[in-house]
Amino acid sequence: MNASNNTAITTRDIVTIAMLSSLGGALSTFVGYLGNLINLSLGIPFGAGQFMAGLHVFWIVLMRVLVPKTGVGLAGGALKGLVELFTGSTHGIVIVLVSLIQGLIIDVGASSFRELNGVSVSSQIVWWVTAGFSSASNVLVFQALYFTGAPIVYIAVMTILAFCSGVIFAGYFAWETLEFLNEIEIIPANISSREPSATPRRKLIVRNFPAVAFLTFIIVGSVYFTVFVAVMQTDPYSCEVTGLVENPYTYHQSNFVGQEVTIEAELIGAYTHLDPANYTGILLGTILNYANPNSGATTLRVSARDGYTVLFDFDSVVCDNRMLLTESEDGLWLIAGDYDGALWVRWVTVLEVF
Amino acid sequence: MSTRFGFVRREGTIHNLNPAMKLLSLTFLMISILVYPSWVLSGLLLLVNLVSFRAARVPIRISSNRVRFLVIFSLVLLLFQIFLTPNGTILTYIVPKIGNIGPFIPITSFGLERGLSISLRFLLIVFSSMLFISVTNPTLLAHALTKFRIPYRYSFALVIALRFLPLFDMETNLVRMSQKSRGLSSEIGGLKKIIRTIRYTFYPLLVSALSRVETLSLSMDGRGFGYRPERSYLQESTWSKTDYLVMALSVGLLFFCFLLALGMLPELSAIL
Repeated sequence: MNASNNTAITTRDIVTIAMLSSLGGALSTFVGYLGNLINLSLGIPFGAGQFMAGLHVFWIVLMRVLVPKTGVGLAGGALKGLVELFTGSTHGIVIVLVSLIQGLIIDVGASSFRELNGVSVSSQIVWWVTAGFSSASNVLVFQALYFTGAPIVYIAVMTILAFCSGVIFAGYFAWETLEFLNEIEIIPANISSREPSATPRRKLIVRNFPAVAFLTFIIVGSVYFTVFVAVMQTDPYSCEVTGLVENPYTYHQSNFVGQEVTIEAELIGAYTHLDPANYTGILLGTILNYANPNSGATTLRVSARDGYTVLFDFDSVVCDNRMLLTESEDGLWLIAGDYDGALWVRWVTVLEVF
Repeated sequence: MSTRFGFVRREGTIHNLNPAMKLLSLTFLMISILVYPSWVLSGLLLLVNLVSFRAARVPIRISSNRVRFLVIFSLVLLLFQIFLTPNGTILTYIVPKIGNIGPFIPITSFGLERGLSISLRFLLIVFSSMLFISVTNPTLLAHALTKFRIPYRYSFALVIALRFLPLFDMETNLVRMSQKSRGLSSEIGGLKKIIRTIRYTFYPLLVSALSRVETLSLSMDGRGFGYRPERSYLQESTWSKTDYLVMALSVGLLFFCFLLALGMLPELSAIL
């Protein structure tokens, strides 16, 4: 693409952005239909439609390429979002936010190589990867709004799917489309996705090798991070001890070898109960004392991975010998032997003293 | 496309409110419910929203596919949260104890609250947006945006985009019918087939849209579009006392939710 030219925006530019937004809005139904077809073919209710996410970014990329001026991605994204809102998007006003963020990412990506002239391999890679990130951003917005607490692996899979979709549809396919539009002379000749095609095939493969290698690295790296690093960082068998303590630390049961206690406790809830069973773990008092709590501490807040929190009187907890953290099959459980079942906490992540 | 949910032209208080004010109120509502995600508050606001539909005389067809999809999706969100939230007072188990096996997947009070909070938030955002688009004239909205110092050349892009939408809808149908008559159907078996399906649909429409750009922009330039910094309008949006009142309520709601979220209204937090 040509370098950004930030002269005043012309009527032609405005009309181009408006037309592409309108077309994007009109075709969003078709894109949704394709997503549903993929869901149906895989036999799942939703999720695989993320593979079509890149087609929403496709229009923003076209706008930014055809009108190479800073801010066009953001404005085009906002306009496309508003068009989709007015056409009755099932996401409501959230679609404006999603499109706005996608446009912003495209703008940031495009601005990062504004000094480059023509289409080099590096600028093409940046465009494709930017399109991928832009497409993936929708998963994070929707996760924050509607899928809080979803397993990280699920979110990661969706994000990677949307990223790949962005690379394919808003990157590769957008470039192919630009080439087509250039060939039929609908767009100015200086906007082209490829250099003159006299290049031999072998040379083409060699030239594109860095792009393919980079994308492979990004995808493999993301999968590796999700499967190994992120899972390790969110170790379900550890929790943070923080707040009014002199020695905040990350609790692992392995650091308290020989201090395990076994108690027999029965979960008695308002509507249900679990039969008495033996639970082995480290007393909460021991865990808290290791952190040297301040003398002014009055309350302990126990937080879980799913957002659940319960409060206990600090002094009672410290001298309670029927209250411990035990390792279960899915993480740390707080066994509060003498308390109501609602105060037993699964997936403990934070013990905060205040 | 006839299935689209769009502006319903009527005379009434809600229809006559300033479009920019309605957009701002919708945004404040969304922020409020994100700041303080309570299912009780979401439920109350959803109720107000449904009453507003009635007051604006805009029908929500429960049987229509769109509304059915929204309700089903909100139920999926509810179940999703129930399955993923094991903490709280256990109400029952999805898989009861059979002999020495189970019980599995508890339904807890916290999971239910959280599920209701998210599914009602989803319904509130979507139904509020539906109300907004059904009572807001997009052309007037474009004009109202100019009052916020957005140059009319830019806000006019929204008018152009929405004006051309029915035409592109029609052309999309035409292209797809032409494809069908030639024996081409939407294929999704493999990436190549998906790209081919998209290409066959997108390319004719893109060519059609971009061909119009030159004509339209020349025509607009010829009529002096953008020549002066100001322009006149056939219909203009104004701010009435009712607009200021509704705006004050929206800002009040936002402020109230921030106070609740910061724990500065503990008595009300216990109820809401």
